[in-house]
Amino acid sequence: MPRAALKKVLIVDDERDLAEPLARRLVGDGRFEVEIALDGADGARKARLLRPDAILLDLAMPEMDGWQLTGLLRADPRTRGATIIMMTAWLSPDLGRRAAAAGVSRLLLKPFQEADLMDALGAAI
Amino acid sequence: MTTEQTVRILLIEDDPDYAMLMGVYVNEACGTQLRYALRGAERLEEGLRLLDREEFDIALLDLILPDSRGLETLTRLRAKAPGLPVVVLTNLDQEEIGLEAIAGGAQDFLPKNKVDAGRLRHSIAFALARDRLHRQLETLIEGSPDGMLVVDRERVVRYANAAAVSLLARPREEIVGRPTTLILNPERPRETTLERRDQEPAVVEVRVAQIEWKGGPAWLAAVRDVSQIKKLEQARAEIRERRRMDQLKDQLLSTVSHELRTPLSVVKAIIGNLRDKLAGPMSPEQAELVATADRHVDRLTRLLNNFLDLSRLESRRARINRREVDPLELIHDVAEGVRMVHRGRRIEITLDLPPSLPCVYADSDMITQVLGNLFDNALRYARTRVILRARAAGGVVEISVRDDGPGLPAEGLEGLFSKFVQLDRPRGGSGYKGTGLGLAISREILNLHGGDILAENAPEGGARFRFTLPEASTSGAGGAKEGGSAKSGA
Repeated sequence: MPRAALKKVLIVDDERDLAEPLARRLVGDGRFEVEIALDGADGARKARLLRPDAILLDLAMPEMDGWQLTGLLRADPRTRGATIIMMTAWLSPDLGRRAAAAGVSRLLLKPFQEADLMDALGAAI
Repeated sequence: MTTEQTVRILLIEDDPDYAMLMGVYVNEACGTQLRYALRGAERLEEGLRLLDREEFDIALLDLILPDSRGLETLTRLRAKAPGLPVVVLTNLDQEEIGLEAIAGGAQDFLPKNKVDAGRLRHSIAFALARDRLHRQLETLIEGSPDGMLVVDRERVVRYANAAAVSLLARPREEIVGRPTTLILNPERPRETTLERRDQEPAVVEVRVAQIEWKGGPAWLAAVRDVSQIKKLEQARAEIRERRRMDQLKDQLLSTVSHELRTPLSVVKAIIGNLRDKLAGPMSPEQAELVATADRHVDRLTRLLNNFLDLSRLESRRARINRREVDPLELIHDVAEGVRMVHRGRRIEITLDLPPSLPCVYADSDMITQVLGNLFDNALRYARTRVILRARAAGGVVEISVRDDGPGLPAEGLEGLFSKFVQLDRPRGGSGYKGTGLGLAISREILNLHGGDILAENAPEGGARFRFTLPEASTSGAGGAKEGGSAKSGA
């Protein structure tokens, strides 16, 4: 597959130990080009530069959390089109509605099955 | 005095001539609206006996009688009739004795040689008015719900009202005339605990004013029983503390939940990398070890979910937070969340709802948990779709969640709702995270709400879980109806 056909995925998670194996998994799949950001601000910056097709982000992060980052990404024309997949440890009652309103396309409950992750990304591109 | 009234006078006077003279004055003193009736006694004992038989409004008392002399006479009369106003008759040059008599409780004194009809009328009117005023003040002080004590500079109690006597739980004689142990601080109110004979200790607030009592400086102590208020405050503080602890527990649970899930996610992702040979090739033996590790990570996740669900139920049970809830809104919210999570499963979630439903009186977080559990359960076994139906029937709202999976085995349906039981059913999707406790917890939540849940095989195939919640109007919105059971009408 030519390199130009690779879809760009940005992983934003303050847990490097999770972000890295996820990235390795996606790269190993052969369809994705992956970049990692370890906090929300770095995630917003890299999203603007990289213009990813999909952004896999963690809800609970210090400083800027997943909601704030989603707000920034949605407000910026350069990143508005990216599919956002949100990872969370906890499904609170209004999470679904809030995520849908924020423009998140999929929730992944930690710890999730890789099949669900691949499915979510597959649907996104 | 607007209507005709008679003042009944008891005259205790040993001089018959003077008694006769008084009779003349009394007759002279009578007006059209106010009349006087006089009864005479020559000795104190005779007067006291008359008091037993008849009622009097006032006594005119000669202090020097054959059977009693001086102030002693007044003391004995007042002991017999404490509420009877007394005007003392004094001889010439006995003004001193008259003043002493007033200090001893007489309302007034009349020098015998200066009495005439006018002075008599005047003195009786004055004595009665003074007595009335005295009674009013006494009623106020004696009737006060706060204890009142007058304490002199030697810390001896000079006066105690009825409330003080009852608060101290001792006879008045053991209080008045004895020193008090109360700490008297005119600067600021003070709270103290009174140890009491044969009674629970009372918490009292003592406020002190400096007054003059019978010509000397003294303290007036107002003693208020605040035991009830204290108990209420204590109960409120305990409730606040319990709520705080519950909140802390909830916070702790959600933190622990997050903190535990993160490393689990990491381990799961790393095992995935190894399994997919992303970190290099593996021997079949290594691959088997990794597969075992993967299974156990899933198992650990299930155990963690069990623990968290149970703990959450325990902490919520104590402070169930019910309000009027629109079931339709709640169903739409939860379905949205479930769709967001399970979008990839290619299983359609259908809502079959009436245009409106009566409100239920429920803790929306808890019912969200029930709906989430039922959706999770249905999604696990469904082949293509999950259908949620809701309707109002006979004072309850009934909600059912059905899947189009293989259905439930006929035996052991009841065990489905016991803790740690998961029926041996073939799994729907691959590697689904089941908790095994979801149904048991759902039933407990519904029972707390006065509702119920049952499991059955739907006539059209698949498993169906139906639960009921009483309508807000029938469960009494605002009233705390706990634990009632409304059976589903099946």
